[in-house]
Parts: sequence; C-alpha cells; structure tokens
Amino acid sequence: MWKRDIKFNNNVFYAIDTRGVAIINKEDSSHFFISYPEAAVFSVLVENNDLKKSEEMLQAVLDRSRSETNRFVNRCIEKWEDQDIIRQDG
Amino acid sequence: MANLSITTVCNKRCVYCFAYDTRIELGKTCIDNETYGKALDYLERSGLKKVRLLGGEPTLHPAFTLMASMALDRGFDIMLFTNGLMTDRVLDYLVSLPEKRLSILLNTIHPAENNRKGIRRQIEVMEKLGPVIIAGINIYSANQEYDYLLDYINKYDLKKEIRMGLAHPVLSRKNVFLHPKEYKKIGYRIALFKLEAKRYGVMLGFDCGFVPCMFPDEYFELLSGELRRAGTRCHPIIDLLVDGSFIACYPLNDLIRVKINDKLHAKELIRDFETALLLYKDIGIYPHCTSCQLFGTRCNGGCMSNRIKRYQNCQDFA
Repeated sequence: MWKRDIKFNNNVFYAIDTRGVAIINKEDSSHFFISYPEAAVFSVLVENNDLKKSEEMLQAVLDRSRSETNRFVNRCIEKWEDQDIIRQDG
Repeated sequence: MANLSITTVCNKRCVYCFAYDTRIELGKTCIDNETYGKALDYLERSGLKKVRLLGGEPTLHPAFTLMASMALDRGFDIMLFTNGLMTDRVLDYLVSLPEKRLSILLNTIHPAENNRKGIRRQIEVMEKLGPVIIAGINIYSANQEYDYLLDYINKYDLKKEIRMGLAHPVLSRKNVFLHPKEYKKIGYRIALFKLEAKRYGVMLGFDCGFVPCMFPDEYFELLSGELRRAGTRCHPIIDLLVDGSFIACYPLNDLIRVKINDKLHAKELIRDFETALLLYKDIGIYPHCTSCQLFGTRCNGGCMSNRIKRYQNCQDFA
C-alpha cells in the first residue's frame, strides 16, 4: 500500500483532460500538466477517499501487479510532495 | 481597447447579463466626473481613439450627453453599447451627432419576445439612427433565432454587419450562460444563417469565445471570413468599472483588479492581466482541446471563464 493520509494542498486546483491533468497552485501561481499514466493516479487519488478502492482501480487502470502499482503510486506521491501538490499529514 | 462602464443602472434584466456580479457588488451607481476624466486621460495616454460606452444601460447616466460630448470634444469617436431603451432627449442628441463619429451596437430584442414597448422603442431608434447601428445578439440558448436581424438590417438600413456574442459564465455563475456542449448546435445554426446573410451582403462579427470546432467542416469556406477571428478572441478586453477599477473582462471581474491612476498605460495593463491569466492557459473549454492540433496555435481554447470553470479544488472530494 502507498503512504496513507495524503492530503492535497487546498490551494491546488485541477482539470482533467484527455491528455492528462492540468494543475494550478494559486498559492505560488505555478501551473503544469501531468500526463498519463501519472494523471490516472492523480485522478483516482483526488476523487476517492477509499484507499482500498483506489488501489484496486489503479491496478486495473495501470495494468500492473499490486506491488508495481504501489511502487509507481509512491513515486508519484513523492514527486507531488516535492511540487507541493500533496502535503503529507503527520 | 477599453470599455467604459458609466453606470450600473439598467432598464432591462437580461438573464445572461455579464455585468451581473458587478451590478450586485456595486449597487445602482454611476461614474463620477473625476473618474470619467481620468478614463479619458488613460485612453489618450494609451493612444486609443475610441470611447466605448457601456453600462448597465449607458444612456441612463444622468449626464450621458455631457459625457459623450466631453469625449467627442477631446477628439474621440464613440461606440455606444445600448439596448436602445433611451429617452427622447438622448435619442435626439445622438441623432445630432456626425455619423462618422458615432457607432452604436444595439442589443436587439427578438420580435417574438413579450416586450412590445421595448421593441417599439428599438424600432424608433433604428428608424432614426439606422446607418450607425450594428445589430447585435447575445446567444444564451440553442433555440434562439437570428433571421429577424436581417429584416432589421434591410428595413432600417442598418450597417451590414451582425455582432454575435456568446453568453459566458460570470465567476459567480449566477447568470444564464451557454454551456460549451451546446456550441456545435449553435455553430450549425450560425452556418445556416450565414447562407441567408450572404444573400444580403451581411457579415457576421464574432465576439469572444467562438471556437473553430463549433462549426461544421462543410461550412468552413462559407464562414472563412468570420472564422479568421474564431479561436483567437480571448484576451483582456480591459473594462473600466464605475468605481474606477479595471478588470480583464466582465466574466472575470473578480480575478484581478487595477485601480485607475495617472500613469497607467493600456500596454502595461494588458501585459499584467495576461500574466495573471497565464495560470489558466494550459487547457481549453473541452477536455479534448489539448489533443487538438489547433490548440495553442490557431485556437486559444475558447473563453477563459469557461476554462477556469473546469478547474476543481483538490479539496472538493476530501
């Protein structure tokens, strides 16, 4: 399982597109685009509170094993923490 | 360009009114002489030759004729955005002006609307000012008809141009606006209308937010003149509110405001607004815009207000 208790920065807004997810951070006026497959991870995490359900969805969407999916998702989370999209709770 | 709103007072209540937010925020009020003078200074400083007066209904400003005369005396031409429901005094004043100094964009009432008094007044205005009038329509529903505009042009000798606007959402989303999912229907209707308009030599002028993909491919050549501008027209208009604040445009009235001062120049203002809007330029009005080869080149993705509306807060599902 990936890191629990991920909390999205409430200054961050997103729009889902066919090519990925557009992100804007109103706090520092930064903006960028997350392409697929990372965009799929973002979409699932931001719109689902149920971690188990999210895990199942992502496994299906990414078409990877459970462990590969978790590794991939954790890499995404770490990257988004660096970009201040996600703030890790405690 | 810059539109000067000289009053929030209006004698109509259009459901799509793009000034809805500012009308509620500022209440019923008019621009004062000092602010209006500063606005004319700003236009002069910026090398702009035309004063574009709007409201509310600008002719309802108690000093409308004085303000218009001030602008004319300073060498500006006037473009008046009006619903035509003006007093006889104002109508007589406008009739007295040289035709080459005045243009009127008339927000027309459909003949079938339940507003006989309003329609009658608009006809009176068209009868007296026909040659300086461009008929306009704001499209807020897929069911609107446009043929009556050609009747008006032919009957009252209006300019052979129709200004078509799409009703965009104001930030509060409290006005009636046209959702982009309706655009293709509208585009088809406009294309058929263009066939008729062409017979009379009437051009269609598209206001902001029209996008190339809303029009059927088979009519591209017919609409080639109009389509040159479609997809390109979403940039800061620079509207001045009655309280002396500049905004990018009415739908984005709350995004950024700059107070008028003695040094402001249109170039800097546009640059500052465009910088603030860069944040939202990664997407278009549709999820598939970023996959379109025209996006970012031939088409900027449509109305910025519609684009911003697509963004959701990450906390919405928390």
